[in-house]
Amino acid sequence: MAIDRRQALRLLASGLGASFWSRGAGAGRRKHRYLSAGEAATPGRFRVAAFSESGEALFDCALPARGHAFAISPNGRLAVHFARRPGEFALALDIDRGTVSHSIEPPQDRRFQGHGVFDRSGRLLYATENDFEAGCGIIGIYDARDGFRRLGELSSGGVGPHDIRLLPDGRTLAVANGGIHTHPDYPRVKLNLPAMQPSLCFIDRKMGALRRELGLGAGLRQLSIRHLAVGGEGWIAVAMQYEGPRGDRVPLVALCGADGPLRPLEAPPSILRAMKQYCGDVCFDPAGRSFAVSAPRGNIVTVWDGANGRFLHSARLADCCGLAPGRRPGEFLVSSGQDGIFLLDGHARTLRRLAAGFPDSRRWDNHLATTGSETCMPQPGCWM
Amino acid sequence: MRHAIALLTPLAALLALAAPAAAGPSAEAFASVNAALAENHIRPRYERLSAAAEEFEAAVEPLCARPDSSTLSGAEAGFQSLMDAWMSAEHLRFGPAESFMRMHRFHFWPEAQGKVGKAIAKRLAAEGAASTAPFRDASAAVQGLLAAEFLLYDQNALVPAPAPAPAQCSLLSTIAGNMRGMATGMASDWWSGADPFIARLASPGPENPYFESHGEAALAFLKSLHDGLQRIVDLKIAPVIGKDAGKVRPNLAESRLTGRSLWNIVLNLEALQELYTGGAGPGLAALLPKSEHKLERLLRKGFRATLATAESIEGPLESAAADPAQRKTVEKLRVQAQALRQIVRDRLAKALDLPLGFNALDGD
Repeated sequence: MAIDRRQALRLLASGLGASFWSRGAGAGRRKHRYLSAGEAATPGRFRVAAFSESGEALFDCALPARGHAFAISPNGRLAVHFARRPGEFALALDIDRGTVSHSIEPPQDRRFQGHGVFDRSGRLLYATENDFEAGCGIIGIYDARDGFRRLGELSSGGVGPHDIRLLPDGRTLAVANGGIHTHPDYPRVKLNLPAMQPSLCFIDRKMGALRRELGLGAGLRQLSIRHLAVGGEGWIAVAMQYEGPRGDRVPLVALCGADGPLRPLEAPPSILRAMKQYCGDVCFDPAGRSFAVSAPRGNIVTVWDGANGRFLHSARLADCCGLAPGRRPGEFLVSSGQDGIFLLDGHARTLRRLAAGFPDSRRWDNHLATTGSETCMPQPGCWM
Repeated sequence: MRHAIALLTPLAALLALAAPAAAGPSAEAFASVNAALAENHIRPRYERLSAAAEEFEAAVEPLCARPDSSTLSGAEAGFQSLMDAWMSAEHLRFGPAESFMRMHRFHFWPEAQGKVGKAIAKRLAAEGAASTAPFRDASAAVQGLLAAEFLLYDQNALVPAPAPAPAQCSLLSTIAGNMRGMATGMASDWWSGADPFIARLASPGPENPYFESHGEAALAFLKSLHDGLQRIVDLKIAPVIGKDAGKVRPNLAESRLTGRSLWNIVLNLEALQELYTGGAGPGLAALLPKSEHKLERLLRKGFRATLATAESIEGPLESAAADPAQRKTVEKLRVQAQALRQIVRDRLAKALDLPLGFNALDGD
């Protein structure tokens, strides 16, 4: 499998710079572009695509293997798309031109974990990685201005890092260490469930120092901290996945203030049950006030108040997973693994199909990204 | 009384299935097959596991008191039957097997990096410091079958021939007692006490934290079938046999020290076959409507053929995979097991109207 992917990568790299499909995505529409990986109608045809808010395809590119999430550069022109873990590639996509500008491979003894983030300047890319022999979480650092050369690495502060975000101070990285050890010998098999210790770690990216490490206590050790979103005033919403017995009712969403603890949030029992112990993605709305959490196994999207952590409402959508901020406050885009992209209006509490056509053409993968605001951080003026 | 129920349930299943199926089996059909599987498929497996664990514990005792070749072979025989019992129950990964992480503590595999040897060495070194924590809270790597196998069979480190030294034997005895506790615990959590799991399985509903409907309970069985096949392919065969005979990785084989890798697969397959076809009572196949008789026969035939392939290989798997004369058969086994899994995922789940959806290896 590894060889196949590497061969495919080489093929892809030989065509670097060639436009795969672009319909003149002008800079004027830059802020309203969305990206997601997905599987085309023919099973096994993994692709990554960008589309406008009206659902028009802007580009559509074949992938060597299944993709996962994106790091979007601050100017919105570059997206680095990471392979699904254990990832052997990441592709830098020039969004304006619709080309693959670079193909990035992790070192032999590392694998990408599916997520990454740029610094404010857009020069440094931080990618979560797995040092699978040592069983340690790593953050790889790559230089976007030097062909994504690997500059070095930091410790993620835990095992099995997954999502990573940059906090509003521009200096602190928040990393979701899911706590689960995996090894490429047994791709995707969870090797340490009895001993897992998930954590939310804050790392000073300049000093490489672990500033804070938050957990949920011994009773919730099997609750994997996997996805993060940063909202107004630096609030961090955390979406989790439970690895314990299915009859247990545990919190699946937590909120963390700038200096406060990680606070598990309460939901009505019927909602918590419907979420089936598994959250797929989390995202703040464009105003940074409310956040959405998807639960693809339960076919439900939930919306929460970002300031006080109250559960607000929910909507049913089959295999809903990817989330991105919409255009207006309270709006979210939601992707379905069965088909379609939907617009969730958190104020009106409505869910409607974004557009027919291209968005219905594939089974969308776990994450949606937007070129407008990479971390879902509120940036006044950016959306209107 | 129990026997009467056991006899009645298959009949009830047949009666329930006589009604024309609209979209998937009726709640009654699910309920009666679930009950029959609990009684005829699950109960004997945990009873056998409990008995084997008790026998193994009893066989370790004379080994520690009088270590010689006779007591050693007694303990080894006890270990082998306990392994057999586990491999026949390994696919049942819901309910009491999930509680207290029993399934991980009972058989901590695959452990990627020789954790068991290290964990045992650490445990033995720390024993002087008299660990007061309960053994169930120790590293899962020292708690179960893999640790017992290491202590009994590893020739390199800890076991001086012909039998374990006192410290090792005392740990082996603790492990045996721990496994007996887990095995009897799983059996009693299923059928005894104030809140047995069988009651959860039989009475789904909004207040039941495990199952909302009889279909959801049946899904737990279907997942056991699917995930069991996936485990065989993705953990027990593919990583070991590699792309060709030159790329075999014996260190990744299950039960390496006892040479049981292929035998484990045979036992897993037999259990999964029975879950599908049924044994003393109906299996999942009984839920298929008449219109799906082709699928029903295909799966039956598939299980028979896959088992025949596995049984025609001279194990262990890691040796057969490197043997040019057997390599093709080993690859055939992988392809057949993988095909079974795909049929279960793509066709059986649809025919039963049970959304298999995500499995243990999905998600991110």
